[in-house]
Amino acid sequence: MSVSSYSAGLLVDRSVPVGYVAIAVGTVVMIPALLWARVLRHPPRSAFPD
Amino acid sequence: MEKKPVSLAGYVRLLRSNRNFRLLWSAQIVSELGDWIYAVAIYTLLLEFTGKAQSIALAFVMQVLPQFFMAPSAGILNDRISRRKLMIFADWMRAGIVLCMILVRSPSYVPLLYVLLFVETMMWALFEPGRSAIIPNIVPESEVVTANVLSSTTWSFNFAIGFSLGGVLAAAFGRETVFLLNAVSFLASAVLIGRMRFSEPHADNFPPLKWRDLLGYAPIQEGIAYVWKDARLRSTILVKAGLGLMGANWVIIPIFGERVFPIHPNGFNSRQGVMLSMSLLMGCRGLGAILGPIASGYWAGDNERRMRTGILYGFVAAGTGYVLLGLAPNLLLACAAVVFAHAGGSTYGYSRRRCSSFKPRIGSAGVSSPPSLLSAC
Repeated sequence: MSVSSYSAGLLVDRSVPVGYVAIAVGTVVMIPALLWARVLRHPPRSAFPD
Repeated sequence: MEKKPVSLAGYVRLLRSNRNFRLLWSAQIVSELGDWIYAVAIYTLLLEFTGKAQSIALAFVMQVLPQFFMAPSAGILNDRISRRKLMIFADWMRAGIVLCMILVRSPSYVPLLYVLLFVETMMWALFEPGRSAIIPNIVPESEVVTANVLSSTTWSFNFAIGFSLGGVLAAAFGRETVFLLNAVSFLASAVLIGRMRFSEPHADNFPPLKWRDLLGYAPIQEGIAYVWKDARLRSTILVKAGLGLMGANWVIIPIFGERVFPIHPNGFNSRQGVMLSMSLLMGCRGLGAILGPIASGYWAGDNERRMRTGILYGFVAAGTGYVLLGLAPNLLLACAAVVFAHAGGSTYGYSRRRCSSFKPRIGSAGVSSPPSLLSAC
């Protein structure tokens, strides 16, 4: 969280429009979404005992 | 032991029947409201004095990083001495620290503000494990889940209300008033906790506390090893780390309030308009944090498979919400995007509280055990 917020601050101070930073964050958040989708599809052994 | 279902009636029953929990919950409300009320004042002050977005990011780092470094010491202290006294001490300290923030009246005092934020967070890190750990001491086992869910739901309400009020109060009465209110909220919390009466047998079986115990980071190492061995916990940590990417919102939302959508209602100058806009957007973030778990609960109930799928939908909603925020043409749509994004981001919290796949197997260790690592992550 610290790295993420500091990077956002750095980008804004380097004149990157804050809207672009928001879009970048939204896009990057999709990476863990994809990883989680993969975990759901192929759960690690003993990950979700039913 | 039979567990009572978590419901509104369950909350009311718990609050009506348990004086100690009622006092603890009231203390949580006043101190958390104070915390969020003054956040807008801090962010607008930093932007006004430095003009840099990084100044907000640094303030946020000062409010997050000490939690991780304090976790072992805070856990050990809460295991060895009276948690009630420790919480009262932390509240008094925080009242003093927040009062000192009134001294920050020019850019040259900004470093002092960072130091104060850092120390205040250290006190928060002392306070919070104690608050969580005393719940089983004051609440019957059958109502512990109800008490925990009520506490975390209360956090979301306090966030939304505190941020919404914070900008209005700062704009109408000035930052100093808001700092003063926050200090008073900590004093009120100390008084409420001081009125609680319960036994604290947790420290009886521990050896006397030594200074070197406070510097022991072995619990963190044990926590990492513990998590690494368990696929369920590894997944949980990864999900939590993924949510950490949204930490950027602490910078993005205030900057949207200041530079993209400042509002200019009659009778308020541009500085006050920034406070109001920031406050509105952050309040929407809190509203999302309230709506997300409600929607998750309605859709998933106790179905663990749905809860896990809900986390995926939550991530997608969070990502989509931020993309929409970046494209929003006006404040209203920006508010809607923030609500949507943070409703998605908070579905993880619902699943973590309710889904057994996300609950670590915890032994008899106290608050310095692996859960502290989870919260630190």
